[in-house]
Amino acid sequence: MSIFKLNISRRALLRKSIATASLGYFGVLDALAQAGDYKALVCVFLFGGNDANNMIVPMGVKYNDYSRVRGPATGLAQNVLLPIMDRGEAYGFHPQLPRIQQLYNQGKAAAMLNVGPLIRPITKTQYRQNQAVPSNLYSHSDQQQAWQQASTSGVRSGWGGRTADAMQPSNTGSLLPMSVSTSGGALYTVGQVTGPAIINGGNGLGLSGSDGSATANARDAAFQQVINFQSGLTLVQAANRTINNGMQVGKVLNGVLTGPSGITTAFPQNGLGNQLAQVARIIRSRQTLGVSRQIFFVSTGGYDNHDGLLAAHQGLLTGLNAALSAFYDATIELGMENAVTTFTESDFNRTFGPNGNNGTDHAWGSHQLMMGGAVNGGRMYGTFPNLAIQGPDDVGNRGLWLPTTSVEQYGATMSSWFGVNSAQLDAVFPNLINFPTRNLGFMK
Amino acid sequence: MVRKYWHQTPLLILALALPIAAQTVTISPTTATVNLDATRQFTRSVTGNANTNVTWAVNGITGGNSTVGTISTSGLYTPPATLPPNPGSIKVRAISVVNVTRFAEANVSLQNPTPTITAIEPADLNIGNTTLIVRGTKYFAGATILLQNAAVATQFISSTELRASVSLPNAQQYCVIVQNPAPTAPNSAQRCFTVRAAITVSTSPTTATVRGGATRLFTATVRNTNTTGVQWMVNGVVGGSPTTGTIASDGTFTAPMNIAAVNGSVKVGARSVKNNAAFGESTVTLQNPVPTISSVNPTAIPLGNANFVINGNGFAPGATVNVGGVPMTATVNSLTQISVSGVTKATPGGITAITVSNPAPGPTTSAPLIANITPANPKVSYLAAKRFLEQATWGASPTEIFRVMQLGFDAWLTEQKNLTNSNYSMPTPNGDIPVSDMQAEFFSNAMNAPDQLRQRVAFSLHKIMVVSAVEIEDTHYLVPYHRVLLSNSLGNLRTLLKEMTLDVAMGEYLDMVNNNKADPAKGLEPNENYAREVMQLFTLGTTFLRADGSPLRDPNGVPYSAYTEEDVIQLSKVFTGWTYPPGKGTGSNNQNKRNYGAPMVAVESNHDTGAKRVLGRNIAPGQTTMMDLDSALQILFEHPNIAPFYSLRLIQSHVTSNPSAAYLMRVNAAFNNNGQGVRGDLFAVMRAILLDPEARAGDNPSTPNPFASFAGHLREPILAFLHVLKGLEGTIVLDNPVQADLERMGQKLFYPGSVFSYFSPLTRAPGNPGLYGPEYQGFTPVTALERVNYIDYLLKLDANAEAKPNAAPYIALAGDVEALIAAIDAHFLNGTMPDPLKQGIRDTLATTTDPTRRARLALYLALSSAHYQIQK
Repeated sequence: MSIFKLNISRRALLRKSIATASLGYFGVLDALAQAGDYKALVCVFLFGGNDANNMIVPMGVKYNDYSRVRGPATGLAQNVLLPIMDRGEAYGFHPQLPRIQQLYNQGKAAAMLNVGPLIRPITKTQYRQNQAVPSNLYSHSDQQQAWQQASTSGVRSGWGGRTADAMQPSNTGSLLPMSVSTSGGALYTVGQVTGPAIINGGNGLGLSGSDGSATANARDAAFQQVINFQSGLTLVQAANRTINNGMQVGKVLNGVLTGPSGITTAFPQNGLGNQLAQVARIIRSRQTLGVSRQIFFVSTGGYDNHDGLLAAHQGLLTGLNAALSAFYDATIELGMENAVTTFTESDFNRTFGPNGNNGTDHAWGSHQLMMGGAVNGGRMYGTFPNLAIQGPDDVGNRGLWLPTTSVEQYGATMSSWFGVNSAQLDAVFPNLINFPTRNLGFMK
Repeated sequence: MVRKYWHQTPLLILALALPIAAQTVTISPTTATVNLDATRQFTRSVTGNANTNVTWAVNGITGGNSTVGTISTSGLYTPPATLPPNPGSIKVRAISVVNVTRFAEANVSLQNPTPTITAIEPADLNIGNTTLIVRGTKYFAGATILLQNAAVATQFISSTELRASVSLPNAQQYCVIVQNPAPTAPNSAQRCFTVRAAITVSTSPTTATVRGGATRLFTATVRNTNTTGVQWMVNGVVGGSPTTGTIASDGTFTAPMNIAAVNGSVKVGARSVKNNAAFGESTVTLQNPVPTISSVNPTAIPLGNANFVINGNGFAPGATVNVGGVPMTATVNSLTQISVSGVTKATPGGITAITVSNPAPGPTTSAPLIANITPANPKVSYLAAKRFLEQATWGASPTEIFRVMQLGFDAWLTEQKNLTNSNYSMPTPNGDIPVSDMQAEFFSNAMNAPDQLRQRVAFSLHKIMVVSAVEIEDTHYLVPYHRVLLSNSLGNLRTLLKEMTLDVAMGEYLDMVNNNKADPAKGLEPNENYAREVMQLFTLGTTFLRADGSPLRDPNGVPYSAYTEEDVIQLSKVFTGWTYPPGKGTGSNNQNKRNYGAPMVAVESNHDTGAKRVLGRNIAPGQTTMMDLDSALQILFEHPNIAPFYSLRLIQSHVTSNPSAAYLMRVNAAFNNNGQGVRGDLFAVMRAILLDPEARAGDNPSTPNPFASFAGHLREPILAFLHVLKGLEGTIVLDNPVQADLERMGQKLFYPGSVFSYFSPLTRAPGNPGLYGPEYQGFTPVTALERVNYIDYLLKLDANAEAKPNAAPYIALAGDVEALIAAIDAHFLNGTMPDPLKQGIRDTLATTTDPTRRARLALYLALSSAHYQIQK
């Protein structure tokens, strides 16, 4: 298995058309998004568990700690790394992340070190005593949910969705949900009140089954005809008005997602590139859509590299670098680079110690990337783990890093920038109160 | 002979004038052979006398006669018609008139002339014996036909026709000559004719398979003759017969309907009109006909055990009958009649399709006959039963509709009241049942358990007396809360109110558990949460209501409040002293530790025993915790608001968002007195709601409905889903995906957002502030399209889907678009499907003939429409 996907709604993933959900009512007022007050969070989920140990590698004297364990079969040579500095220490990005290195050095990108699901800060001893250990660590499905939930396990909402709940008044009048997923009904985008617009295949909100066949066209024409029919039945006409509103929003969104994009930046022709190209289109049309806050969820897979890590990872990061690079360029083109913050999540880090197949296995604390003009870039945040096997940060015996920063701190820092106030923040991130630092400071 | 020719006179005179002298008469020629058909001119010469006249005679007969021939005065001899006895010795004599002793004589031989042949018949001959007819001229009796130069026995018919029976064994050219009898002139010229091989007839196709009643054109090829006509026959009978099938002169064969009578096969033959022996035939394998149904008797087929007769044609032995997808027992009485018995099933709208299938050979099924199924002596109409069930239950399947038609409303209601209630499984103390399993039980019960009214009312009450799994997610607590609702939903509201007040989940949700009397030392007052909500949301509402449900207003038009802040404070004191049921140990203040499984228990020492005054009524001091609770609940129960409060909400949930004041007051009356002097009987309230004329308006679409323009209510997602699935007699296999779908539609079962429920009963219909439309609170452009697309998904009829509708009855009708529309209209749209929807279905179905696709599309357009989504 190399691709793991969140399975919250099996069928939603299969649906061709956009499906959206919302418990709240998006009014039909003609409110306009306030120009100049727009922010977007873009979550890039790397399904399968990204080997962050090879994404950010210590250089200089610490490189030996790395190379001693990883060796040439699963490790990167020091001279191919793309050097960066962090708080006086030398690190290197994976050689396939040149644009990330460039943005980092320009102060537009940063990295979060050794972050993972935590209920509260715990020590290795506490871990061994099973005190406040998050459930089902190392399981793809559970940890995909844990990263998206950023909450106590069992909660059926994601931190993007709850952030949207909190920020809902910002989009008053918009017919489009604040959260938009190009990757099915991702838990990340499901709030307690709001739900995502799910975009698949570039189709917009509208009738499913509209495949352009003569039969479908006749069906849709009949559907519209019935909506338009003035039956004189009050409640029927009230419902028809609402259905018609949905159809109209769909047309707006369809207009955004189809036809010329109006963006000259070329996106790589890969899954992630296509998804981010759609996100760029929607951001470009933010005023048409009447939104001032948006939360996007895009994803790519293939990161579960139990064997042949080096070659596989090289290809994955090449695609990631290209997609993120294009997306950042697009935000510059739109003049929105300071309003759009892009960040990565992934199931978990992989074991620092390799397995017998030149691959690595499931672990815990990982590194993530943050990109955008609003990121306090050019440095890393959190603490780089001690790379010693069975060392202070290894909760196992193969380099499974005990996170020093929680997903909730990571998310809260961005939600805070997004506009969620401190009081709301505790509702969005219920365990945030357990951590001494509520804001990690990587956002401006 | 009369001589009148003028020039003869001088000759006579001359002869008389000449003296008699020695005379000589000569004749020329002296011999002649004369054909009977010819003449011969003789001349004479007379010398020795000036009178050279002669008399001509034949065989001594002057002038001759018809036997020996005649001769004219000028010597022209004409033979007789037939040869005389001595044809070779005819003497033609010229005798001098002067001296009759002087004459000359010529010997004439007569002979038959040469015959001719002008035709030989028959013209178109085949090998074998035949009577040859030779036509021509100059045939004389005794003439002989020479066939291939050999004389054949010849029959003389006339001078122009001869006949001979001949054998013509070879396909070749034959020649004939005619020879007259001797003496004769030479034979005729030969005339030749062609004799062809024997005539053959072949038919095409040589084998054919033809259904009974169907036609097939056969062709015949006739060889070796110019006469290609044939006679068609079936099994040797020209033109065939009804038994064998008939065949027209052009070769069109019409197969018999009863193929068994000819053992399934006949021969179609063609024989040459020229020669009966020339014959060809084809073998026709017969298949059973396509049966046709013209009528059924009786025209309305009884539901259940049914006996009826099908009339039509082409019913083969062993034919089977299917009514609405259900096989019947069929007895084929004749080609045109089948007696049917069996158990018929309820069908949507009572509309069904009857088909007859003939067995092999060539098994085939008739076009459907659309017929009606109806229970015997129905007490209510299909539509009435269907509307009633949708108001009372999780949905109306045709089967249940038919049952209600037979039972009538009252008997059905009584039956429902006495049914054992369905339930939710309680987790074991250490076990864990996730809420999703409870949701699964909910759907399973809704789809399958018979206590439909109880379940439905329990859900209506859940929407009023809310505990949400958003906070109370532990099913050890959530299950008992829903059990309280189920066990009391057709009981008395007073009992429900007490059990709900003491329910641990409610105690936690609205903070009555471990709510202690005031502690002045610590400055603590009783928690007011339950006290407030039980009045605002569970019994009274915020405003004082008149009997018709409208707010009672002061002279300035401001509604009177139903209760005051002081009432809340007083009531909060009543609700002190309750703690968890015992079992998990005791904590501080004699309170039990968190526990479940039984109602909350009183800790008298924590109860405020002082006097209270609630809603203008006194509660005596010194009562026990339970006595106080009973007193307070009785005050709420007796408050005039409670009847209109519950009446409105229950009517809204089941029948209409906007009941008239009169309707509300009739239901209030039932609340106040169930007929036996009992107040708060929820069954009586539901009975009043469901049987009210205003609820029943619409049962007959031809009766004007004064409430039509604002009737009904939007089906909330759970109701819309279940009504569709039960209406389509579907099943739920997996519940979790369904729940995810319902969430997207805006309703997460058991998880209302707050104590204010899934939606407020006082929500106004969008665009119509004068009307209530509670369910519209969750009906957004996004969720609205989710519903539409979910209908589309359900109707994909995916075999692996988690919810599977049964579209078979609609597929069975899909060949008849109007019947399909009628069934959907009757079963889902109260027989009031608007014309644009009908036309839209027609237009859409015109693009496909696939029955399944048609059924899906028609159902999609109907069920996704607001005309259905509003339960009317």
